[in-house]
Amino acid sequence: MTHTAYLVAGYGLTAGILAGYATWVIGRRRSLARTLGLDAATPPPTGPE
Amino acid sequence: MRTRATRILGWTTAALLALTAVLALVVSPADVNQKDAVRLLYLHVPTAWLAMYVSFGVTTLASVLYLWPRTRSRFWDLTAGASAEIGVVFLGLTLLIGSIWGRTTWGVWWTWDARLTTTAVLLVLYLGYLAVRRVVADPEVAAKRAAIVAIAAFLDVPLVHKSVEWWRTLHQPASLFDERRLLDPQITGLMLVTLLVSVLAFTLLYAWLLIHRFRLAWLEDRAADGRMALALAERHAEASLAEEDDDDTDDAGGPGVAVAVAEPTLETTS
Repeated sequence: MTHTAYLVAGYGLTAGILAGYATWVIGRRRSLARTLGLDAATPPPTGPE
Repeated sequence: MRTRATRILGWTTAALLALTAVLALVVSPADVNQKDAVRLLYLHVPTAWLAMYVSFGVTTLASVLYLWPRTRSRFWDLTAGASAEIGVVFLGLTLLIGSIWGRTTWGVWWTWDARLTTTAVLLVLYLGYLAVRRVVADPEVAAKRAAIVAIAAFLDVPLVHKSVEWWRTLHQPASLFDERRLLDPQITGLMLVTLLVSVLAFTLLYAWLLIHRFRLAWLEDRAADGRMALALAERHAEASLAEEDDDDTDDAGGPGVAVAVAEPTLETTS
């Protein structure tokens, strides 16, 4: 393998994994908000109550 | 307003990540010895920094605040869990990129080097922490248990940090994130600028992910509360039905009599 192939693998895997994780988090949040009948855009409390 | 701020943070992060990619892959020079493989540095160092020091640091701090009776709040428990999960993602990436980089520079995908081994142990410890969080228990007991595990797991971080000094390892010492190297970095010029931009971009990405993961954790918590309330309501309903049945059978003179009364009815209908 050439250095370019290792770079493509490194950068490709990083982009894929991070994009996949971010998509999973946002998608699950939206679906859970729908199930609970809440607005997904409504943020929870930003500090300890 | 808070959602708008998160959106701005997201777009800023995306722009900085794009800038990092251009700087790392096009603008910054190749290394004399490692050639183009050095460009993996701009992913490996930020992910390691974010996983070990930022994500697990936040998890530990939030766990301490949860255990401290005066600051105890579900907020800190959810923050600790959200940050640990992001840290596990980043640490997995650190090992993955490190493995690819090791293949190009050392000729092997993996070696039981002190730095690599202590990092792999750290990953296992935090996977264990996430598993402990999923154990079904009273929410407060589960949160306390998880907080103690988080603090214990963090004890491996100084070991990982010092492993390149305490043992003979293949892994090079820190170029930047070290108490001595911070003021006298072993990396200069465009390479240093690219590394700093990359660290900033990944730190913003962590912040953005933490906000969203925390919101998800908050919804999961509410869903769990809802399921608990539903289960309790069902139990109460079952209990009151059973009580009504008991009252009916008592009125009819007991179960034996009830059967004797029912039997002739069955015979006549068949």
